[in-house]
Parts: sequence; C-alpha cells; structure tokens
Amino acid sequence: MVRLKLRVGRRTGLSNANFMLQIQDVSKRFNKDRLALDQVSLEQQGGQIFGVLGPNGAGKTTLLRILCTLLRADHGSVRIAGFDVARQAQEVRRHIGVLNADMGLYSRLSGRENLQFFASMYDLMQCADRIDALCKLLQIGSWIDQRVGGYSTGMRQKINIARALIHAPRVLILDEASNGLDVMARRALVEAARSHAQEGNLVLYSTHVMTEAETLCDRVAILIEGRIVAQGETKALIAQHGNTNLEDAFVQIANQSTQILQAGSTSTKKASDL
Amino acid sequence: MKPWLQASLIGRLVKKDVFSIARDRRTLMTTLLLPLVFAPLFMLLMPAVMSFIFGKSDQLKQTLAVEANVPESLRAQFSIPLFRIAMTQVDDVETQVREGKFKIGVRLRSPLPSNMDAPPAQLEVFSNQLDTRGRSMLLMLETAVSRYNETLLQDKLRALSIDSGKKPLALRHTPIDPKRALGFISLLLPFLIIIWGMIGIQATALEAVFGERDRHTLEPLLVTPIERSSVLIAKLLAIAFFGALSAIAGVLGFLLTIWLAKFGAAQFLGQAGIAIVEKIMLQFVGPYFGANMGFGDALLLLQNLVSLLIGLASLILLPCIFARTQQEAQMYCGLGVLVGMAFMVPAGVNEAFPLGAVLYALPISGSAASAAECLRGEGAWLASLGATCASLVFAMVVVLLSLWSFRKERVIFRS
Repeated sequence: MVRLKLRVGRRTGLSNANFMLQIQDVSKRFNKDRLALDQVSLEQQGGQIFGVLGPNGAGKTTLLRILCTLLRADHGSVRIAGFDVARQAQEVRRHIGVLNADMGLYSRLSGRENLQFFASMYDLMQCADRIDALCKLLQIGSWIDQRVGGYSTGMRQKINIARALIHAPRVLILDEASNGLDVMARRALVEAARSHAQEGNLVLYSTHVMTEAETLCDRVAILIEGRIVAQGETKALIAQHGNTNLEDAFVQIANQSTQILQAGSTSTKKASDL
Repeated sequence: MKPWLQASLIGRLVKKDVFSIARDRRTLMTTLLLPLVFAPLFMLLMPAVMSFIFGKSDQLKQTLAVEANVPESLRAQFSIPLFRIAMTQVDDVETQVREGKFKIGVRLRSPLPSNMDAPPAQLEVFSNQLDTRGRSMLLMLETAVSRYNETLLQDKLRALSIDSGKKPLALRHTPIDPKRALGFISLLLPFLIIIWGMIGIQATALEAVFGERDRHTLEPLLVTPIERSSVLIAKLLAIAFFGALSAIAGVLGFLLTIWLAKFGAAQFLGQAGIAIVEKIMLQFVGPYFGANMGFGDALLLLQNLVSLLIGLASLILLPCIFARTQQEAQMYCGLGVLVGMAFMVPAGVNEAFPLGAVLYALPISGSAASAAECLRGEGAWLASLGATCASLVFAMVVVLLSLWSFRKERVIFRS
C-alpha cells in the first residue's frame, strides 16, 4: 500500500476530548412533515474508518450533507475537527473532503487542472508534490494530463478521490462513493480511505455494500428512519447480534428497529387519537 | 476568512471559468467568431447576392409591355440606373396584361404633349398580380411621368424668358461646431455593444452558471472554503468578461465591414465606388467619429461599458440559478435578454421624450446613454458616475436576490 508522504499542516479547533467528529441531538425536517433525522448523536476520534449504514431514505445523505455544510440542521450541534458546522462553516470546509457517486469534474480541464483548481480553492497554490503523491497512490499519473471529457467513469472517480484528498482533510466524507465503480476503481477508493485513516484522520464511509463496510470500517452506525439504532465496533456489533457477517447483522437490526419504530408510531398515533 | 482571501478565490474561480469556456469551440464561435467574421460577411455578402440577382440575371430583369404609340422620348425616361428594364412592343397592352403575358404594361391614349400648351394626355398603366419588382416598376413610371412634366415646364419657363435655374431662396447650413456633427453610428454603437454583449453573456452564462449544476460540480465547489456570495460574484464577472469580449468583437467586426466595403469598392468599382462608400460612411459614421474623444472620455467610456455589461450579466445570472434543466435555463435566459432589451428603451426614446438627468439614474439605460456621449467626446463625469452607480447598484441588488435563493437548500439541490 502506498502511503501519502505529504501532509498539509493545519490548525484545528480540537478540544482535549480529541474527537474529530461530535454530533449532538441533530434533527432535520423537510417540508414540515418529513423527519429526515431525529436526534442523532455520534462521537468519533480520528485514525479510523467509520461506516454510516442504512437502507435507502434512512437519512444518511442528509446527515453527511449537514456535516459538509450544504444543509443546516434544525436542531442540535455538529463539530468537525473542533469547529462548529453552523457558525464556523468555512473553517469546517477547510478540514473536510467530500466525495459522492454523483460528483462531477470540469470536463474541458485535464485531471491535473481540476486538481490544481480545487487545491487553489483551499489556497494551496504550490500543490505539484501533493498531486504527484496522489497520482502515485491512485495510479492516475499516466492519464492525468488528458482532458476529463475523455475519461471513463472509473477514471473520473479516481480524479474525484484525489480532489477530495488534495488538501489532506482531517475528515473525509465518502457518500456512496463506490457506486458504479469497477473493481480497480473501487480498490483504489478503499486503499485511499485506509491510507487516509492511518494518517490519523477520520473517514466517514456511507455505503450499501455490507461486505465492503465489513472489511473496511473499524466502527459502524446503523441509521433507520433518521435514528441511529445501533453503533459500535464492526466485529463486536456482528457478534452481539449472533451473526457471522455484517449483512446478516444489518438485516436483523434493520427489521427489529423498523418493527419497534412502527409500533412506536402506532401507539403515538393511538394516544393522539385518544 | 479574510476578505482578501475571498477576493483571491473569486479571481481563481473566474480564471477557471474563462479558461474552461475558452476551450469550448462552439461558445467561442458564438461569442467571438460570429460578431467578428460572420456578421461582416453576412452584411457584405447579402448586398452582393442581391446585386447579382437583380443586376446580372437577364431572366430576372423587369419586362414592360409598351404599345407602339409611346414615343421614344418618353421611353427614354423609363430607363433609370441599376434597374434593368426590357421593353417589349405589343399591340394591345390591356389584353396582354389581362392574359397574364405581362405583369405591367403602358399605353398612351392620345398623342404625347410636346409642350405645356398642348392638350393633356394620359399614360395608362395596366398591371396584374404585382409583386415587389412590379410595384417598383409602377413607382418608376410615376417618377418618369413627373420628370417629363418637369422638362415641359422648364421649356415653358425658358420660352417666357424666366430663368428656371434661379433659386430666390436657398438653404445654407452652417454648423457652429462641425466636429460635433453626429453620424448614425454614435447612436447605433451602444446598441451594437449591448446586442453582441448579450449574446456573449447568454452563451457563457449557461456554461458557467447552469453548467455547474448540470455537470454536478456545484456540490464539490460549495464544500470548499469559497463563500456562496463569492461564487455568484465570480460567475457574474466571468460572464460579463465574455460579454465584453463579444461586444469588442462586434465593434471590430463592424469596423472590418467598413474596411472590406471600401476595399471591395476600390477593387470592383474603382474611384467612383470609393466615393460612394465614403459618402455613405460620412452619413453613417459622421465626419469626426471618435475624433473628439479624449483620454478622459475613453476612460469614462470603459467605465460605462463595464457597468453596462455587469448590469446585463446580473440579469442572466439570476435565471440561470433557478433553472433545473438546460431547456429551462435557455428559456429563462431568453426572458432575461428581453428584460435587458426593455432596459434600453429609455435610452432609445430619449431624443423624442427627453428624460434629462433621470436617464442617468436608470440602470443599464443610463450607462448606454453615457457611453454614447463619451463616443461623441461629450462624456460628463457626473453623469457617467451616476449611470455607473445605477447599473452597479442594480447588479448588486440582483446578485443579492440571487444569493437569497442560492442559499436555499431546495435551490441548491433542485434537479
């Protein structure tokens, strides 16, 4: 595995608790009647890969968008690298790298020009060494100077991974980032995530692929209908529910939680009817 | 974050947009090549093609049916320069025209009067399904009859020993300051700048603003430290820059047309052609176009044009943010262009309905009027400043309005 040699030194606002990510009672509602997140709380330290798992519509993307300052929480607080997401949004953005499956690139620029542009947005004007290191890590050196318009999906996503890492973020947020990737590109993503975590950073990894999460994530949280219903070390969570793999554990937890939540909402409805 | 850092981020985003758009051949074609090359070619080729069709093709020359009793002295009046007429002698004009053999024909009922005292006569004109060229022929016949009557009147006056060439009352025009004489171009040029500027702005706004959403680069951009207001300002500057390029190309294309017209006239028509083109140019451009502009006027002109283009760019920026699809973006941009044109109305009607100082307080329109004054060498710094402020304040209000919607989650994530 190739490790990134260069690190971009940066001031952080970490407290003594040393949590890279602190989420407290975060709620988010869309269109007044749809509760996307319901009092979500999490705390994570750096140096690990943390999986955010859940079925479609569970609120994973909403949570990650709040973390990367694109959405505002209705209630609760979020701190990333010690900075408050609502009040210190720009500081937070300096410390996060974000990647999802839909993110695009400027097709008329080359891969290198794309990376140089995004580096310049973080005020990193001398980034040639950093780009070279990422080229080595992701094996993109042979075509990085070609225009993005001619890239395949996998090539684009590799450049996008490099874009998310260009400023050596303390927290890397990967939202379904492996969707639609071939084996090689997926492996490059996994290697990049591992390498980044080993440097003491936090990687938030949201995925549908449980085998991927099981092999990659040190810890996971399972989100069902906007609530965290289980969280802990991946292996411990599997053992705790008497399963042999994460997929079975996830299905079991998801089914139990859905039943409990539905029963809860029915009793709440009955109570309100009374 | 420090303001200077945001300013530098704006600069980098503008640079990226300019760099990226400059690599798009189709956009460059629209913004630069169209006003610089195609417009002059079109303006020059169209008259050449028309001239070829109407002047050289024997099949298309107009045929006039004439009865035998129309004398040669009157027939000579029917020939005018640049209008090819073939006269065909027929026996019964009315029947021939009625049967559709000719579209127009003439007959003289009684002998042609040779002097003012002779009995009056009528030149009867028969026409059938007149087209444009037939109507021109009718007009030409009316002119010929008037000219013939004028000749007879001159003869009569000469016979009475009255000097027909004498003009007791004459008109003498003495411009106090001939250098201030206005050519049509001084009114036209600001409009040309606006029209071409709008084309450049529209072509690049779709790419720079809507394109961010379309190619899914908006999200990665918004998670960098650049503020949303800075993103909007950068986009505004990038599209105004291409608007300026397009406007400059439009003006250069216009000058190229003049040069080509002169060159072509010299090549194909000789000295007489040059004289004709120069006469037209004198009317159109004016004898002292640009000669009165000093350094101060040039600076004020630049200031007015920049504010004008920024005002126009803001009009296109706003709809591009709202658009969910390419089709929607194009439709909204079309509306933005119409609104931009509407802003030009006060400047256009100012001569008929003078607005006075109020004109300079109107965004876009005031800048255009002030730019026209600078071209005439009459730029006033107070009027320019007022017009510039009006346009920039207008642009700022539109940017704030854009920012208000750009901060909304449903606008960012609408698709």
